[in-house]
Amino acid sequence: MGASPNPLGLTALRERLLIRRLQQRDERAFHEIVRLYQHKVFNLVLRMIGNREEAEDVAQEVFVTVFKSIDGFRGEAKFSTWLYRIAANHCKNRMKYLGRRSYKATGELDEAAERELQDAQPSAMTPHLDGPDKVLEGMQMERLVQEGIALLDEEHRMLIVLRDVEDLSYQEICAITGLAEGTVKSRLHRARMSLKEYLAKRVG
Amino acid sequence: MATVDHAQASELFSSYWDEELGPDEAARLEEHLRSCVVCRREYEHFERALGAVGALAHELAPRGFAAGVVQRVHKRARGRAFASRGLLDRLPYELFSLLMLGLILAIYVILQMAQPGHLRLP
Repeated sequence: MGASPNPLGLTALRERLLIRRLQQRDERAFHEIVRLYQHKVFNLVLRMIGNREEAEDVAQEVFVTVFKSIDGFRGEAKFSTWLYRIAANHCKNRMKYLGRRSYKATGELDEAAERELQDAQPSAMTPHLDGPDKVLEGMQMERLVQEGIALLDEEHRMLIVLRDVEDLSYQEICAITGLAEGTVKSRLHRARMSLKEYLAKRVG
Repeated sequence: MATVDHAQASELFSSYWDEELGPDEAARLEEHLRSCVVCRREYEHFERALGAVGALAHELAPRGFAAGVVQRVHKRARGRAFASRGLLDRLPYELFSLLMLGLILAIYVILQMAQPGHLRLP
């Protein structure tokens, strides 16, 4: 269940060199960093917000902030942790903004999943399933899980996404959220129990 | 070995799932789950829910995402976001501006020289 130490298999040296080049405003280094982390950031934001268009916009803003703030990155934390912290803050701000506009984030992913099913071209990282029934079953389950996540409050949702979707360690989650480990664990437990209740009622 | 009651059992689900319980505590919980149908069913729901969360597809960023970010940065900084790559990148613009300055100067000198009485010797 533990998180991998480097989600993309980047060597620390290569990452440091890229960051140094980015601090010198090297466009190619920036492009490389975006290319390397785009899927991780997009997935995190999408699972938090639940809407592809919003998620794309927020994820792009995350990288704009990375570019603007890279001088403030001192290497005390891992770059991915720093990046996730920026992404988490952007998600919180966008959710507050969307909340003020009474936005609901549960449906859009379903439509996308159904489109994907019709195209019969699951994304590259989708686990392989045997037949159409199982694909459909998997997608229905995915829809329910996404709905359940969307119903959690913002902080619980963030913890579920960081720990159970992104598979980060508690240490990384503490660094990203600024919460103490005990707080993370107790809130995550409550979030998991809420999600369990939601899914048990719908799936049985 | 002290036993675990219903409330304690459900409080331990997360730590058990994360494999963070000590061997004694894990054994006590397992013992309770074996003997208590209610808690066993609850843990099965818990396990199934977290299994489904972990199996969520990792969605890929849309095509053109990286180019869109770079474009956004360029737009915000009005083209001054990134450092120039070197002299060769700058040269054509600088050369062009120097040529234009030279041309303007040459036109000015020619016009001055073409004026009547210009450079009239005493």
